[in-house]
Amino acid sequence: MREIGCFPAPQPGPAAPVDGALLTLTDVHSGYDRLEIIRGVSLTIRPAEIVAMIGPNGAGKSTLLKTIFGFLQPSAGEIRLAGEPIGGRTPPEILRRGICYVMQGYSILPNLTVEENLELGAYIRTDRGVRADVVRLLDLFPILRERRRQRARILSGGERRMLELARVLLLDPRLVLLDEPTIGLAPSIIDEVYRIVHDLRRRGIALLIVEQNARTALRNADRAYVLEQGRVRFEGSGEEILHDAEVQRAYLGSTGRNPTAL
Amino acid sequence: MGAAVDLDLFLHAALNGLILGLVYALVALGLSFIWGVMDVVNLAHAEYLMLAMYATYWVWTLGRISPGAAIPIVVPLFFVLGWLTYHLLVRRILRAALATQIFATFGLLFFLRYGAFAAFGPNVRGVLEAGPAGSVLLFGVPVATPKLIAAAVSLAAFGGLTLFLRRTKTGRAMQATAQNRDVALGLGIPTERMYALAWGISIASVALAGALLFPFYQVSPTIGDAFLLIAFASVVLGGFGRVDGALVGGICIGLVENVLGTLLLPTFKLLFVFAIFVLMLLVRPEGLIGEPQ
Amino acid sequence: MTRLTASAAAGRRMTPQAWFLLGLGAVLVVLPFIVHDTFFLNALFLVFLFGAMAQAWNLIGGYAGQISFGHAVFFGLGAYAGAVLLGRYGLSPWLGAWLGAAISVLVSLVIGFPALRLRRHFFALATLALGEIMRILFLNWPYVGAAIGLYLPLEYRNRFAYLMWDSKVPYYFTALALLSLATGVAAVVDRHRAGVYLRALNQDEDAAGMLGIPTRRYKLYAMALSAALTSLCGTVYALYVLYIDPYNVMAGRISLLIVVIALIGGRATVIGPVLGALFIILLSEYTRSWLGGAGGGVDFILFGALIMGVSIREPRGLVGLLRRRGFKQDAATEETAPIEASVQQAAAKPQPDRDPRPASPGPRASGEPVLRIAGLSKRFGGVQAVRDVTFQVYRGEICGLIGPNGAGKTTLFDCLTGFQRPDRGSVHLNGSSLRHPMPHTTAWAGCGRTFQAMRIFADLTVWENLMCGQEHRGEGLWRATLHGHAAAAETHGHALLESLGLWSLRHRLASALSYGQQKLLSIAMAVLREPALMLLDEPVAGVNPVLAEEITRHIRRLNAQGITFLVIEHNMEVIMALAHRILFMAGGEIIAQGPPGEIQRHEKVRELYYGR
Repeated sequence: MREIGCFPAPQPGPAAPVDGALLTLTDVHSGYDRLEIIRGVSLTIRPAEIVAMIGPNGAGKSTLLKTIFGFLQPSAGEIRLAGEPIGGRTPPEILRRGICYVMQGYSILPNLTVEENLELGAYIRTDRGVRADVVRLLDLFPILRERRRQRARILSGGERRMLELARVLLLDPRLVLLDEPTIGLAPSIIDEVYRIVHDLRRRGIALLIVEQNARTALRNADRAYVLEQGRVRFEGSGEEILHDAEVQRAYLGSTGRNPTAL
Repeated sequence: MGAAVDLDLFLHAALNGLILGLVYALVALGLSFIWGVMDVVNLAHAEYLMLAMYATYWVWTLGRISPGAAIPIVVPLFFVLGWLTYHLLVRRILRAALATQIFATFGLLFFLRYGAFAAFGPNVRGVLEAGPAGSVLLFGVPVATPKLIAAAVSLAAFGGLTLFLRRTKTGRAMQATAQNRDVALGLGIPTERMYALAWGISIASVALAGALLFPFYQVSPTIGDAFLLIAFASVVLGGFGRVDGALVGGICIGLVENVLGTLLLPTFKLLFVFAIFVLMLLVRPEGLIGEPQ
Repeated sequence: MTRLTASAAAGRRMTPQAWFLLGLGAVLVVLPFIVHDTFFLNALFLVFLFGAMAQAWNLIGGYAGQISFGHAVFFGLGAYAGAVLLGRYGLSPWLGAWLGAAISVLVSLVIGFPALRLRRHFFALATLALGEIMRILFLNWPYVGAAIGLYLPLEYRNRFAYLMWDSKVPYYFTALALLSLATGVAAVVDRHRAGVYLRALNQDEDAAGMLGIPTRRYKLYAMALSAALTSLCGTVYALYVLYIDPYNVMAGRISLLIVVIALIGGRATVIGPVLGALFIILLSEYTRSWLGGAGGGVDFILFGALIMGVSIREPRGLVGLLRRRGFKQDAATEETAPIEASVQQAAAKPQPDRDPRPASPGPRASGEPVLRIAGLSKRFGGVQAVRDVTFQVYRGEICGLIGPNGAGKTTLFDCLTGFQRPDRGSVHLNGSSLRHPMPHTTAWAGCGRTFQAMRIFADLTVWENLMCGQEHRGEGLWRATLHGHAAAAETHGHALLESLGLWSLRHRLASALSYGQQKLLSIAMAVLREPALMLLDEPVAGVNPVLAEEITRHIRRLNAQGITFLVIEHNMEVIMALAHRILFMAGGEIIAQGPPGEIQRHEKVRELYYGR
């Protein structure tokens, strides 16, 4: 895969944040109706870093991403993007501030063509360079170019992910939220997905990746958070978390004996 | 001799049915569109048709403007009306239970219909000389010019809407909103505005149908009754939520009504339409070209 | 009027409401002898008649939630039956009324059988169309007078046997009697099991089916009752107006009027239709008389605005407004104990048969399989969701089913309980084969289930929710209408709620409970009838550790009492401690099975769960 070229930034961002953090969550609480799922999460993401968020099912990982992106309103706590509070804003507003969200399950539009799906990725852009960028994108992803005029619903799982990640490039965001990007994908496709992830990072985009497939995420991440029962239980570098036996216990339960590292 | 007469009759019925069907399709278009974009079934849809016919009537009576020329006045007016309906009523019941949605549009039906009663009185009004006169020969069958124009405009409207949906950015954003609201939001599409726009388009298109139908019908406040079921039949037959579904469904209904009605029992022509409708609901609710749920 | 007189059920005899009704009844009986204004009597006649029809409509449209826009069909059938039998054959309307009712019931079943399968929108449209079809048919049927209509022969007047009089007063009483009958029927249904079941299936038909309620049967039942009552009203109307034609008795606007009345009054309440009729008819009649012909539409404009307003602000109609003003119907007498505390209380109670360590699969599991699955496969959404799955669950064990997202676990449950039809394979429950099951037949075969997303009936009380889970196999429709809940179910239910700490909340609406309590309730509902096999789908998802502990304790206790469990769960701490045996599923296949420790150390399991 070739290096991704330069795309014009959609809008000028604010001045560089004081403490170097791109996204900060401070004691955020969130959930649905009468069910609180996120019970006080604090985390930081710096520009151009890959952060993994892992944890058992039901821990609230997806809920957290939805809260950051505005699909859910936090009931308490603060979310700041480069210093600016964004808690409570709507998804289009958050998108305009430079955060993209690649959802769990697929966020492609099945009855539109691949090309139309790509173009819609640039919906909030008002400049005239969209067409040219789309063409460039198709060059970078030959599989998508091959299927450009076909309906997106015929794409395989891996191809859909590719489409979603490619679409993100049209907006040149500062942060991309990935919700279980490799679920149901074959190992070779998983590798491909993470290659794109690294390329995005090299462009200066930060990524927050929620994964059930913990080991792959940890191996590719600079830092990681382990979420359990709506709270951050562990935090550290990808390597540290990867080898922490306590974390493994959270996944597979206690065996009743001394847990050994893998 | 008998066979030739029958064929002639059949052709006559079929052609007129086709033309009628094209206008029915236009009536059904808005209904199907709303259903597809936001899963709301508008029971008051045909009342807007009735109001548009009244509007055309008044434009003619007061300004001596023919229905054709009235279109640029009536259609934009009703676009705004649709947009208003969304903001004042529909927006508040989008998330409500199905029964509540049905009742809300049902209340709207009463409100509009009896509003018309109060404003215009119960008597029918019709101005049959309002449209262009004469007829055209099509495949050897004489077709009244106004009917032909109505069918042509209807086709043009379908074409226009399809172009809008497929070729423009907003149109594709509308399709996205219809397919998956969350994904659309995630792409930055202002879904609320899309819904309001959809309502505007829906009511504008049914108003267009009203202006086109004006020369053929005597308008009264209850004329919506006849058209409501026909609109639903068209939508269900073709496949709800799809623009082409409304077209296919409308044409089928027009053909069924005219052909079966003429050839079998004229008094029962609506019966055939409703019977096919019920049959379709029971056997294949997603319609002829829709996809099974 | 269960909820109205709930406190009466708590032991007192005559509530203020009951006295009010008695007084009202006395007034109504005496009224026509005091007031002689025929306009007023006519208005009241219509109020009673439409009130009765709204009550009837409410059974299918309000309680069961299947909105019908075609009830004029039954009204018309009743009217025509009475008129034809009298006019052509000189037969008394007493006979005509019941014949009309019988025909209406038949028609309703013929329509209902296919139509009640439809989604609600489509059902409403179908009834609208069917109403029109009938009207057109009658308009062209010479036997009933076609467009000309029928005149009722006047020579039968002033004879009780023929229900025709000169004066309006006897009609007043006839209509009042009909209203009383309809209200009585509605009250009986509301107060007893059938009403609870109808309201339950209205809210969540799948969940109701899974509890063993034969939903289609109940819907048809409501439809038939509704048709019969409406038809009786039609007959009386014909005798009153003495001339009928399709426009007068089979028109869509009659159907619409009935719906308006029921809606404005309040769906699924006994008093709603009466209030609605009073309001709508009186308003309509008087505005028409005051404003003359020109005012013909004004009342309906008002109704239209009212309905829109009601749907936005107060979907429960006039009854809802009254309740808001303090016309309290919730017997909210005992829920003073704060909610969390009651849970802690129950948690603190000593549990005699608690055993925190998982029992080994020895003495409990008797070796005989409660559930036997062989070669089960299901393709779903373009993916092979379940791939040739074969396993057994033995009597008395707690079996855990784990696996990553998208492994097919819930689809497997769906295939076992009739929510999905497997493409291939066989399922045997308690030794008997389950072929093409529906949810309620699976329940009758001895299987219970909870769902991943919580499915309880939010608008029913805790007690009503629980009682939906009583044994339904062999429970007749009549018994459900005429009897309260089964004594055994009530006793068992009491014990269950006590042990869960929910007894004091039993008259609260289920929507008022906390998430954790709702979870407990959903499990209680499923186990009330003590199914042989319980399928639990993520029973501790989203609950705090204290409650998770509580729930697992209950599962163990129920297991000790003889229920076999198959549990999908993602919380490894919980399931590894709870289950005797674990099944690991990924990609639609069972990859491994065995005791918890073995599975935790299994190579493939670690890889698939934790990643490479």
